[in-house]
Amino acid sequence: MSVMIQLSELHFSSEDGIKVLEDVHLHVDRGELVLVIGPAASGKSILLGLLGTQVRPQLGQILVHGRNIARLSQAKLADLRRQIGIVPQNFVPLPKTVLENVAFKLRALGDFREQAEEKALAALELVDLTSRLTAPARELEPLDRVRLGLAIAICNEPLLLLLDEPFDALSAADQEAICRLLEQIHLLGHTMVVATRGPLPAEVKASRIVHLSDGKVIE
Amino acid sequence: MSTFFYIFGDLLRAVNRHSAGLLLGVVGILFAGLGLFACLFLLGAPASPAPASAPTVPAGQILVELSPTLSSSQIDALYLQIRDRADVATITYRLPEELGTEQGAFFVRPVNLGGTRALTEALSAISGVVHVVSPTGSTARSGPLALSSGVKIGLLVGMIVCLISSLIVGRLAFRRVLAGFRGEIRMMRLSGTEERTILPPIIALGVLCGILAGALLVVAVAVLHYVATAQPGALLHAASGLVASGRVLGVSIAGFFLGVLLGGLIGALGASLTQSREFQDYA
Repeated sequence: MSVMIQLSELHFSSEDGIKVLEDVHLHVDRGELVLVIGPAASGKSILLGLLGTQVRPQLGQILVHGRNIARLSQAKLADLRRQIGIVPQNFVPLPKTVLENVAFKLRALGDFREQAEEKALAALELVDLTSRLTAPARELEPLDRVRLGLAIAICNEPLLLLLDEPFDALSAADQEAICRLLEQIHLLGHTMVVATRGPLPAEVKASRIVHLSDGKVIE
Repeated sequence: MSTFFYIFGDLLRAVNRHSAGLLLGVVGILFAGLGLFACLFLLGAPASPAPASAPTVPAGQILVELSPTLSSSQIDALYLQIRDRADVATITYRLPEELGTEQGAFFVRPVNLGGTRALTEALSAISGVVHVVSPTGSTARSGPLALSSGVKIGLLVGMIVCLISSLIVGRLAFRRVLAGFRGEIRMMRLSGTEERTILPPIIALGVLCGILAGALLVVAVAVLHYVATAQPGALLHAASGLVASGRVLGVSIAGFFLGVLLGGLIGALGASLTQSREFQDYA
């Protein structure tokens, strides 16, 4: 099985010098679903930001899909970013309809309208949101918001999916629904890294669970 | 190109009433600056010196040189206007061919020589009259306008003030517009859209402001040119640059492109705002 993510001796400090990540080693194989669990401010979001090439690494090596992100030019970083789907923490959709939210990303990436709508519909069907296509996205329930975030993340068929606190503010039943959805997407062959502060929903089925505490990884 | 227009359309939809007001303010300030630029060239033409081959003035008469753009009916009207004055004894019109000049002229004899100075000044104030020479040798020139150095410096300072103001108001306007477009920018950055796709529509919004200001200038200059040439009696006729079609065309084109350039500068300033943290997730 080929390696999708390889982190070695990764360190990261905030602007005011606080150590956020300290000597992190982690590898994620292609097709794995890895859960990163840690309390608030343990460095989960920074870790996902680094993996998603949204945060510039400071010290250590980050290989994503075989590419060292510290050495990539801006253009190549953008190219890599297109192969990574991210659902940020507290995802806030655009003030558009559900369909337009997904189509916006695809249009911005260069797809024509028909092509974008076709891909958007496929992604929304996968997350079971086709009944809300014309609904204003900002009026969605928390569960549907996460579904929409997932649809936006997967609509261009990325190699890697990063989800930051997808279970936040969800009821136990909604968390289980998201777990089933993640499993369904995972079965399609996506590599996924899900960061959460826990507790984990009973239905969660991960390839591996990684604990992050005080910036250190405990597998 | 399709992506550019799609994002540009979305950006325009993010413009709300307040940011639209600020953008119109930018257009207004740019227009004012371009107007000052145009004044510099259209009003500031140096007064042409009296021709070397100026006709000789017979003793006791006043020479009244007319604008070359006057039509024959306008010359007739001026003739009657001067003839009917109580202080004018006689008036004779000479054709340009007779005088060997570009324009025709009136020779006016005052009723009494003591009132020559007052009559000279009165005649020079009439629109359509460009030069008056009295028998004593004193001359009065009613046009074209000649801008003093002080006025020119004032116009330049005004242009610089307008430029700085447009940058300040432009920055405010773009901050407002981009506040309503923040989600889209964050999503584009998160999904790997390149900066060369994200930034051009924002710069284009500035260019659009410049195009509007430039187009307003072209319309304003065209209207003033029309008024100045169609109504020689109007005060505008004294602005020699406004009656010269070539100069009007040149200033209009230069002003328009200057507007586009300044709009682009404001747009680039606006686009630079998107580099701040609020436009990036995980910043």
